[in-house]
Amino acid sequence: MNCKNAEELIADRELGLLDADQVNELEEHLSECDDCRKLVSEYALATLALKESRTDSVPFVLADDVLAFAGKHQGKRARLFRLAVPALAAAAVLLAVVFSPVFFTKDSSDMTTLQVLEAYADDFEAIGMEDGFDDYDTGFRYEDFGIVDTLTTSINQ
Amino acid sequence: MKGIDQDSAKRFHDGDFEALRFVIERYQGSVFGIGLKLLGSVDDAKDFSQDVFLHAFEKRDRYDPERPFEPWFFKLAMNLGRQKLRMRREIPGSDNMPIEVTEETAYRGVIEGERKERVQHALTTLKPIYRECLALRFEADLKLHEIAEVLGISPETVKTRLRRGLMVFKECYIKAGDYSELQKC
Repeated sequence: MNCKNAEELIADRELGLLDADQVNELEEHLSECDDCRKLVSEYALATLALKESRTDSVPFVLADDVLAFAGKHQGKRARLFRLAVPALAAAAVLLAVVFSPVFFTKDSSDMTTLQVLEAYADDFEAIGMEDGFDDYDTGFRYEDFGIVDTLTTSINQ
Repeated sequence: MKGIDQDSAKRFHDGDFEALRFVIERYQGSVFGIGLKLLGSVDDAKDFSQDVFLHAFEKRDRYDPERPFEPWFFKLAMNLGRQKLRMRREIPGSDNMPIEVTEETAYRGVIEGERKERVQHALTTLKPIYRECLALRFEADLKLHEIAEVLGISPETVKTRLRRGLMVFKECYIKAGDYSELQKC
C-alpha cells in the first residue's frame, strides 16, 4: 500500500466506512510510515471539528413562526376551498341547464310530433309533384289504350 | 437515523399542527446545521430552515406515511438547498463551477468558538456536491445508503464524495488553524 492509498483509507476510517480487513491493512502501513501517522492526527482533528460543529439547537424561535405562517396559509387554503366548491357546483348546474336540451331531446326544434308529420307530408307531396312533372310523358294518349276521349265525347254529346 | 414515529409521520401527513411542531422540534437542529454548512451564513440558514418546514408541510400530500419520513424530508430539504445555491449560481453537480468563498464564514456570534468558525470557513471552500454530503453525514447523521437515497446517487458515489470532501476540508481546516492543536490529539 502506498501513502496515497493509505490517506484514502484514513479518511474512510474517520467516516466509519472501513471494514475490518481494511483497518488491519491500514494499521500495517501506519506502523511503518511516520508521514501517514501524522495524517491520522490531522484527520482526527478535522473530523472531531466537524462532529463538534453539529447544531443541536437553533439560535431563534423557529416552531412558533413556522406554525403561525402555516396556520395562516392553511386558513387561506380552507377559505379558498369554502368558496371554490360552491362556486364550482353553481357553475356545473348552470352548464347543465344550458346544455341539457342537447342531451335530453332528440330534436333541437320545438315542433310537435303532429307538426313534424305534417311537414313531412308536405315535403313528400312537393317531391311527388316535382317528380311527376319531370317524368311526365308528353306522348301519352288514351286512344293508345283503347279509351276514347270520353270526356270530350260526353261534352260534345 | 433517529427518525420520528410512524404515528407522528401520519399525523403530519394529515395536516396536524402538533405533528408539525414535533417535526420542527425534532429536526430544526439538523436542518439549520445543513443550511449553515450548505449556505454559509446564519441568515440564509434561518430562512432555509423556515422554508424547509413550511414547504414540507405544504407538500405533505406527496409523502407516503407508510414509508420512512426522513428520506422524503431530507430530499425535500436538499432540493430546497440546491435551489438556493442555484440562485447564487452555486450549482451542485457542476464540476466546472468556480468555488465561491463567501465573506460570511463566522457564526456571527450565535455559535461561538474559533473552531466552529474555522469549520464553517473550510466548508465554504468546498464545492456544494461535497458540502451537501458532509452536511447530511455530520448534521443529519445519515448513513451512506440514506445519503444516497436522499441525493438520488449511488452509495459508491456518496462514499467518494464524502472521502474527497473530508480530504479537502482537512487541508483547509488544518491550514487555517493553529497547528499546535495537533499536539493535543
